[in-house]
Amino acid sequence: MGIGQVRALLKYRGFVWRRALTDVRHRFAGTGAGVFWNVLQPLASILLYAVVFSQLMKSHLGQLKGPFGFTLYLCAGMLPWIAFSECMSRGTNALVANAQFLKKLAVPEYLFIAETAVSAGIGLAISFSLLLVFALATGTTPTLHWLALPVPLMCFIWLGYSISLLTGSLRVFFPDVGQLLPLVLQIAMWTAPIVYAPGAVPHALQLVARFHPIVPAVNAMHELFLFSTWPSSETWIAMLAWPSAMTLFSHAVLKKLRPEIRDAI
Amino acid sequence: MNEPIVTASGISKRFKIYPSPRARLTEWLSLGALQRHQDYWALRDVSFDLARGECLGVIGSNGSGKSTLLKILTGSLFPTDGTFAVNGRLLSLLELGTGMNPELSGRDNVVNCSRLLDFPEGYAESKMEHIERFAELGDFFDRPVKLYSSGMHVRLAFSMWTCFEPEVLIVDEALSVGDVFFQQKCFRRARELLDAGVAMLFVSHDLGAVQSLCKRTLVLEKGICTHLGDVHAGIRLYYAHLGGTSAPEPVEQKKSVEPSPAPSLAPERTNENPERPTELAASGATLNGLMWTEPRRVETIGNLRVELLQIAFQADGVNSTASVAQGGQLGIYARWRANADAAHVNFGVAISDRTGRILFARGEINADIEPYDFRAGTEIITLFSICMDMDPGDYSIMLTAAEALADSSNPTGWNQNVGGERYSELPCAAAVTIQPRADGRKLFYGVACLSNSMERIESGTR
Repeated sequence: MGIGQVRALLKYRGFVWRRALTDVRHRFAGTGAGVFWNVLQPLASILLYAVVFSQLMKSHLGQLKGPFGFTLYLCAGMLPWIAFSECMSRGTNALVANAQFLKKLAVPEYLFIAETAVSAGIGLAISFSLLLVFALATGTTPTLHWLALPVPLMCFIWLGYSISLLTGSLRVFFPDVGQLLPLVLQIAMWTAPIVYAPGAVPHALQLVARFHPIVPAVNAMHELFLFSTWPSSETWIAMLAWPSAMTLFSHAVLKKLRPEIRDAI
Repeated sequence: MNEPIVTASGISKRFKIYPSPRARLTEWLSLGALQRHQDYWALRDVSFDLARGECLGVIGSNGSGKSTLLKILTGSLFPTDGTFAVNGRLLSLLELGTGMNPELSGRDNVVNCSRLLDFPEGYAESKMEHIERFAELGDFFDRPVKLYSSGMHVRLAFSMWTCFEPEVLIVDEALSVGDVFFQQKCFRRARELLDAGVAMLFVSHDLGAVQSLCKRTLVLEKGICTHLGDVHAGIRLYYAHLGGTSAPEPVEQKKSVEPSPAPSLAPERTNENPERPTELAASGATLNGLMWTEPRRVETIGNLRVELLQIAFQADGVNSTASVAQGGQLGIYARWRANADAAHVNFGVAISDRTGRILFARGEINADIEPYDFRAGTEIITLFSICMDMDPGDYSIMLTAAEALADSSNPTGWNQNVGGERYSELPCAAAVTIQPRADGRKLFYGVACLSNSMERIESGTR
């Protein structure tokens, strides 16, 4: 199962990487600013949040001092979430969108989902780098904990990849999956502590968050980036277990469906 | 016999046809208890093998399972039953053309395709020069593929195909794109690859092409292999499958053709000698308004003591481009110049079909015309007039000027087998298109209409 998939991904890494880079480079093809939109868009979002939540709505979170405390909190969860949901929505369509390959080539299906994941990962690297610059510029002192940030960031993308394996496979047979996905993503975002603090919601919702695949990674982001604490081992395990389990499960489904996917696409 | 490179045994393929996504969902959720699909067997128990250097033609009407079979061999579909083994690198021309990123240059797409086809890093780069040369795309090789014409697309794909060194090659109708010269180039290259030991699976509706490339053929009919073996027997069987629809059945022809041949056929005209104006001025009247164009000089050979300057065409006496209705008289005018004194020049013409096979070739000495002593600096126009009573399609015209050798043992006084110096030989000087007859009648089947007559002789009652 997993070993074969990893080996195939390694074998085709050149292809995946090149296609993802091309995707990033050409996503805004034809626009005046071109490639720079990859930077301009997240930068604009960060600045917008900063203005809104420091000047207009003056939101605060208990432990966070300074005018930009809430902005940093929001961005720490929101930027990876945006990458995750982009990975999900594009990954779910990846097999259908690349039908021309799958109709004629023996290449593994998941290459095209991996490609969207890598592309989303590049976007996240850019947006989160901007956030780090913003944090330093507004007076946040970096800590050793920041060095561990790539782990939860990777988990966002990995989880997006692993769930897309499943949704992307189902999407081939059921176009409704594509319609359902934005709705599910909305619900998923609002049930995770991204725009609010974990304790700020009713107890029932906090219970839901315990079984929410993305929540451990969101919590880890907040703890490492803002509160300079090490996440509990429980958080670490949950954060890695979700995408691992999803990968195994989704891959098993994909493997089972593979002949029919090729027939139907 | 050498070891087969491809063996397929008992390949079957069933597609499950669901009327709607909901029907599929119902069946899945009930874990198969509620059957909502219909089975469609695209292939049933197909077996064959393919040796190195062999070309197996796969023919069959639409929906007979040809593409399914190819896709199974390529690995993009999974057989429901049966096994197959490919003991070498298999490339399929149907996969090379697709998957090009329109935003990337031809060069980058070559690299991408090589990765996709699982070639090692650096492989495409090492072949790049070869590919670039073969594709003849010039500056376009480094421009985005979205700017390419469809012909350029094919050129690029074909060049990759030819340079990626496959051991088994699947060709799916791909040789029928592009102009006649490009098609001839494809066929030539295909034969080279076969000679080099590449095994080929050639899928086509073009039976002429199948006949010219393959010795064996596999005939599919509704997913069942009805014939595996001799190509001619296979093609006969294929026509039998087609039934009365469009098959050139000799029986049917006898019924429909009147006892006397249609007057418009005029077979005698084909034997007319090509006439040649002796001087430019002499036949000036008939030369008025000819649309002179440059010949295509690709692959020209010869010492160019005699050079072909321009060519022009007349169709049934009307100045025209290189297009003529079936059975029409095509006048091929060629303007030659001697760059140096050239003795005993024998001008010639040849017509080849799209597979590169020469259908007709004739030199002036075949028509009892004395070779021409060409003085340096002078010009001459030759006219070859040919009744193009051939199958509609694209053909290429070769024009030659070569030295005729005297041979007293031959009744013409000239050696008709061996020539001397080659002054100029333009193997694809021009393309000519033969259009179907305007009145829609089809007067014969096959490559060309041979001089013929048909009659009935009453033999009394039984």
